[in-house]
Amino acid sequence: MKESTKMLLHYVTGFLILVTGAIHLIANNLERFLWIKSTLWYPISLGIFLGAVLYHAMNGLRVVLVELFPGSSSGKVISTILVIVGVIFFVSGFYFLLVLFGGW
Amino acid sequence: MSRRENKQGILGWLKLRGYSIEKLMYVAQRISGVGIIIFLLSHILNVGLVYAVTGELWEPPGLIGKAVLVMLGIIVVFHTFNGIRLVLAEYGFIVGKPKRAVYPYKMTSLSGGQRLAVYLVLIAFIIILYFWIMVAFDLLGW
Repeated sequence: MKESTKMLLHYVTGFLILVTGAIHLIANNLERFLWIKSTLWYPISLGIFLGAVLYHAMNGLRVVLVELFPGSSSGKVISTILVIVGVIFFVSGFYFLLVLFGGW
Repeated sequence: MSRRENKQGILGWLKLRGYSIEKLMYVAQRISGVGIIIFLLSHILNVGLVYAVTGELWEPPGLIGKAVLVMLGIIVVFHTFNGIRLVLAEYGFIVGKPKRAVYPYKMTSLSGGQRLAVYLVLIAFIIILYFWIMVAFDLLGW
């Protein structure tokens, strides 16, 4: 994937985090909006939030680490490790969502 | 660039003297980002583990836990505002047009609203910080 595409995705996920993160915070902290949690859209928005926030976090960390440890080989190692970490956290987080909302 | 060429490494972040305010914003964006990542990963693990063991959803533990959440809220607000500024700068919306370098030299890339955007981010951050502190007092029961 081109670096510009990775960064475009970084910004798109940043916007998604803004929307879905706000839904997550409002539904959990404001009593007037507790009803959001009983709709089908809430777990969907949490799933999007989980994926977006993990991509944004791992790509942000990649940018910092690649800058600190320059070089194409170290860049590949950093990217591979971060993809693995991101996938592990996504699977565990998504499984929790399925248990909590999907009746698994 | 080889690894040896990046001689300063993470210590280069701490050198702010002689640099513009954008360097400070750059460092703050990175530090706040790393802080958010630490919370995020521990939050995903913590919520899942607490639910798996006790069958109950995670609540911030006591005063210290709530204080950590308040601090997190502050750095998230900063990271968001500064992130929006960085996106606008990257796509050239607030970057000044290039000009011939004539003495006395001025950073033309910082004209065209980019420096103004830095001040707007800081002002918006301070305003939101004020409201957030009010929420924090309420949360901490003060």
